[in-house]
Amino acid sequence: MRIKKLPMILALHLKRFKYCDTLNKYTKLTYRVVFPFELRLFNTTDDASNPERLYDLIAVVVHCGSGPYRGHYVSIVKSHGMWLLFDDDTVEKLEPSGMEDFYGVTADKNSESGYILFYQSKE
Amino acid sequence: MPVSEYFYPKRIPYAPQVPASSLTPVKTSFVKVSDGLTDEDCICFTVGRELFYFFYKSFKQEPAQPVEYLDKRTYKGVAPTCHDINQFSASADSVRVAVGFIAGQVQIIDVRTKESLQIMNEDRSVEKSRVTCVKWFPNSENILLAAHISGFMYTYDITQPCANFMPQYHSQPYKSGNGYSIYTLKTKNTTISSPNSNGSTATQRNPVYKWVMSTDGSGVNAFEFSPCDKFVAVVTQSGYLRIIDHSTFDEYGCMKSYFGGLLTCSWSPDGRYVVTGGEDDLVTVWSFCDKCVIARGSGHRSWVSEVAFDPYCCTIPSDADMKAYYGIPSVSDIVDAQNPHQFGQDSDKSNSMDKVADAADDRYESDTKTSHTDSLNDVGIHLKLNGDMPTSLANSAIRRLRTYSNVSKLSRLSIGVEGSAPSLSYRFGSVGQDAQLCLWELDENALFFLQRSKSVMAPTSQHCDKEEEQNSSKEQAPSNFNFPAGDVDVNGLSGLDYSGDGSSYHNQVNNYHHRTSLDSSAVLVPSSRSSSVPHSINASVNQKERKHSSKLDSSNSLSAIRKFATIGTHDRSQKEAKEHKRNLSLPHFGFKSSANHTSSNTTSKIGFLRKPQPPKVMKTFGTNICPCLDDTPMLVPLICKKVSQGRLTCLDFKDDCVVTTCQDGYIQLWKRPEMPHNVNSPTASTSSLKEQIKPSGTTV
Repeated sequence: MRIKKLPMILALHLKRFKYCDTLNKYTKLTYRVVFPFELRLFNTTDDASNPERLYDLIAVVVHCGSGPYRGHYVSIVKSHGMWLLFDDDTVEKLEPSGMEDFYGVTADKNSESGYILFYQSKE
Repeated sequence: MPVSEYFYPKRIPYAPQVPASSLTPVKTSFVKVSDGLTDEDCICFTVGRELFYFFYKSFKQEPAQPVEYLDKRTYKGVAPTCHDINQFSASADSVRVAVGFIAGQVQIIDVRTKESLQIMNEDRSVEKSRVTCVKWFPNSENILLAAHISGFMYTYDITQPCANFMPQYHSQPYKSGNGYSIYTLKTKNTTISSPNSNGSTATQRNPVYKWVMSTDGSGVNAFEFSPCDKFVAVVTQSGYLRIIDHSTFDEYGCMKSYFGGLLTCSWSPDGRYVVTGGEDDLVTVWSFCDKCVIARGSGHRSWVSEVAFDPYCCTIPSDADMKAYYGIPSVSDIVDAQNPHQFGQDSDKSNSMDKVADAADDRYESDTKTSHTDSLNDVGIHLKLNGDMPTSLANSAIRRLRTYSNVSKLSRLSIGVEGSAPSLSYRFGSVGQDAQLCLWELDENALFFLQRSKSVMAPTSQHCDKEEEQNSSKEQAPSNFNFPAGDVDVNGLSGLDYSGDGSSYHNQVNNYHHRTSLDSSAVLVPSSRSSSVPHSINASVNQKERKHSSKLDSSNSLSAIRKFATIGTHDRSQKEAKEHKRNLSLPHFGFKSSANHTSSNTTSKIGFLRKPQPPKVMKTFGTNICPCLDDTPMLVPLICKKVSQGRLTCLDFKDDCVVTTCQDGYIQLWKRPEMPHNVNSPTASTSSLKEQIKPSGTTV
């Protein structure tokens, strides 16, 4: 896949589920997927305008729980220069180094894993 | 793909159930310990809360036998994140290791005597955040540097106690650089506030220096001292590589990642190049001489966690040959030219460190000569006698193609002479979170790609404008670098950049701290300008030429050279159009694009002499600090191989194998693949295997 028009807001949906034939249902994929705070796209078309646009991570939707049919969502949002973790009615401050906890753990079927990433163009 | 031999202490993958952020990386390091008769390689290995120290041979030769530990420690409460063996003082009786911990402490242990010597920052009053990297200063028994995820680094002198109270720093920085500053302790106040200590040891000396390496609180991920011992390369989460003279704290140069944080860096054995790896999944090669990015490498599919040069597979001509054939000065030449000795400055604070730095210079001179050059020198002389006779068809083809596009003084140098030049190549490796091991070759084609394309495209207006913006920006490095005037001819290395620097230099004099070589700069500017400007009058012509050249490049790399690592040829023909569009749509490139489109000599000149305005926003992208993707060659790895299940954390090169460490707690040894073209490599000849990494022994 190549991208011709780079959007202002880039939403990346990680496919964290797959159909498992033996179980006859979808299962969650908890693979570790690292995502940087900054991003440029490599897979742009040759005629894309501004193909090296720089994006900043601004928000992450996180899925907690063992499978695609259950669990809980929390979100992490950058606000006023700091990262906030929204979990229902509680809001906590998150150190940037704490983002690592949401990359997912391949071995841990219950891990809290980043599911949708929102990047915003810097310009 | 089986591994050659492997080891892990508990025979099960290390996978603790803790939050990822409290997970500590598995690390290995090596030391050669001599008992007077034989040298013994030893490994220090940290995994989880445990630290092991054992003979390298003990698991290399008899993998079935359980490894006998010379020292083994299990920490409670804190986990080690990094460690460094003091190579300078290591002996059969004592091997000192500095261990950094997740909560900010640094412990000094002796893994030979099994003693625990000292803990710096024990009560975490100096720093509470995780230690990301700890290293002993070169040739120092007692001084170490610890970097933290908070963005601070601390110099500790372990002969001095680290008192358990909050250190008071001078409010004014001891030294202020672009985006970093250095603080020293208020010694008087701390004397009073330490009631428990007696008079003689009352003065708190630790930390000797506090390095504030970022303005936005982003962490320091790693640092590495240069082979000449004078500089330290620091990489940060904000994506910067900074080269800092650790005795004067002057910044020598800097670079920015393509995007995201930089996680690791490594110096070439001769100190001429620094390779970094980071969250852009790329390896980036930065030239010490040119102070710019000269190549990137794409092959990893996730973050690059460690890069290292393979000193056994680098073919580096002597300093004299480097200069004569390639126009590349030695690191000491550059340092001498740039920075007449300024060690006196902080003599009151760090006598020992000054001595270290001074001694280091001398040692380096002899080191480079003995280690790399003796045999190669002979080759060089021999070839020189042969004169213009091509040593081999392939060789001559490479040289010819390499030189055709040089329109400046370089061509004079290169025609005829280059065919007899001693071969030059650097090998480095990288490991990443994708569990891949990549080996890269930095050969003449990559090293001189930029030089060649610069002399053709000669974008006086655009590059110099960028340079000016870059230099006037407060966050930028003063990348103002002067060769001795006599070197310019031989050199011809991107003279445009220097002229750009030179012109901005006059406007920026006050911003620089130690610019002593104003004169040579003034000499340099006209000479390089006169050689380069005429070729760059019309931008469209340049682009044609450039396009032309890149076509030839690609044919060159496809037909003439059958090397593994070739320069990835981007689609230059489409790039031109792309670049124009891009320039128009990017607001901060407005100036560049206007100059580009009018493309007349006058605008170039105006742009050239334009007084730089202090820019509001820092601009790095598209400059030497962080060039566009198409402006540097893109290397492809010689070898790219997934070698483990877990992500890789460490990479070392030994004389007989490549050592990788992965987060699951495995250490793996790999035989080097044979590189047919690299017959100079001492290890390649021992292997009769093909280009794939192959196992050298049995598995457990």
